[in-house]
Amino acid sequence: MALSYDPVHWTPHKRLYDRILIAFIGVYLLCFIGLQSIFHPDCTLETTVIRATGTLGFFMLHLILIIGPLCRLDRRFLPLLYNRRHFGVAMFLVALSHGVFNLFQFHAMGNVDPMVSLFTSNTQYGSLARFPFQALGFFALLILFLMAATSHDFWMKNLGPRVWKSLHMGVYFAYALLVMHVMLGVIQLEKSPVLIGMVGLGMFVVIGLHVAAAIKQSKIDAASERNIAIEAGQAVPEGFVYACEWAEIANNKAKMLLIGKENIALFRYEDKISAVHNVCKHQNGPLSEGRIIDGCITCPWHGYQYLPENGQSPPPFTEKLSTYDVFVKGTSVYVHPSPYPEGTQRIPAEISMVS
Amino acid sequence: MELATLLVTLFYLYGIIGCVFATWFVLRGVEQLDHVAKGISWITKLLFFPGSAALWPVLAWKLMYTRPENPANKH
Repeated sequence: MALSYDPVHWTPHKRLYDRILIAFIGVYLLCFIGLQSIFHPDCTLETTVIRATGTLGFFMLHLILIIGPLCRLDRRFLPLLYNRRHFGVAMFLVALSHGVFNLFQFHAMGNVDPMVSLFTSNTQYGSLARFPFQALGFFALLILFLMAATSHDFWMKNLGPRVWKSLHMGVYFAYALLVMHVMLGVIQLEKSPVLIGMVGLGMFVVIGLHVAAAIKQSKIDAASERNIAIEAGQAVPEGFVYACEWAEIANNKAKMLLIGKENIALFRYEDKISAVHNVCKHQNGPLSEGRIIDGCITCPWHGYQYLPENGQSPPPFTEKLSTYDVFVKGTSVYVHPSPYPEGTQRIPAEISMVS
Repeated sequence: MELATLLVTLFYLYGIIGCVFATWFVLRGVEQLDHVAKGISWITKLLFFPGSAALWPVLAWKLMYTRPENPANKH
């Protein structure tokens, strides 16, 4: 949380994350250049750097893309998510160095403008196998640049969450362009089945994890709807629907509910249960994957906080979430899926009074 | 070749206008658009430069047609 913009809201976790990231980049580049000098001693330094940055950037993009589904499949991966924007910016800088080295190496030595040369040195745009793959890399780099340049909170606020999110979903289009860029590059220049196989494996992992995460989420949604249907006959106040047993929610943590179109986070804390809208006002982070810290619901993505009783950010901040009524009968928790206006105070359900 | 030259020239032109706009934006415009940006450090403002140069039509449109927001506290 901040009342002003800083370059980075540093936390110990972010510092550790960045140190590991920089070390990983350094070790990868050194290993790649070392191995390249052993197995391809005839390669120039420029070519080696182009290959090293290209493979590293593409590998980093794969890691970035699988962090989201991995977190959906197993919460232990969540720490990887918390500073993903630095990972993304680092990946862009690696990709940019790959692009700049390429531009100088292959297009800056003649009497044609390097950018014009990029698009005209190979004009077989009608051929699938001989398509000018460097142009695809250029457009992917443009998308990655837009994402890196707008990764600060300032842009999320001033572009609006929907526009910002749509812009950043462009990473999948960039990934598709880069898969074609790499595949065509390998086919036209390297002709290595091993490299083609590695690209295919990367695609398989990225797509497979996304599908697995989507299947898991659909099962959770279906189970939630079944529970609601099974328990609908119980004598509880009108309009309330069964959510879960309160023992299913760990203390200071939450359970996510999808009731109709309502995405609800049900938090247990201090023998009380409150329900708020599950989507953080900052970057649409999943609040139910966060926890209660210092009495506040804390978003797992960037630490935005809300009071569980009224969904309001603690003063002086002004973000507000919708709230919901919660009812506890015996060991069962029920939620009324009609949201109150954002920031409305609701009395938490007491689980210590359960008979 | 001629089409590529034309498109690349337009690309350069867009970038040059963007850089000029971004220079003004980080110096003055950012504080007009967003009150939270008042008094922020130069390093932070410089972080906004690449995005401002790339998205200058969006920011120009917002500056022209969006009313200044009330200076309420936000995250």
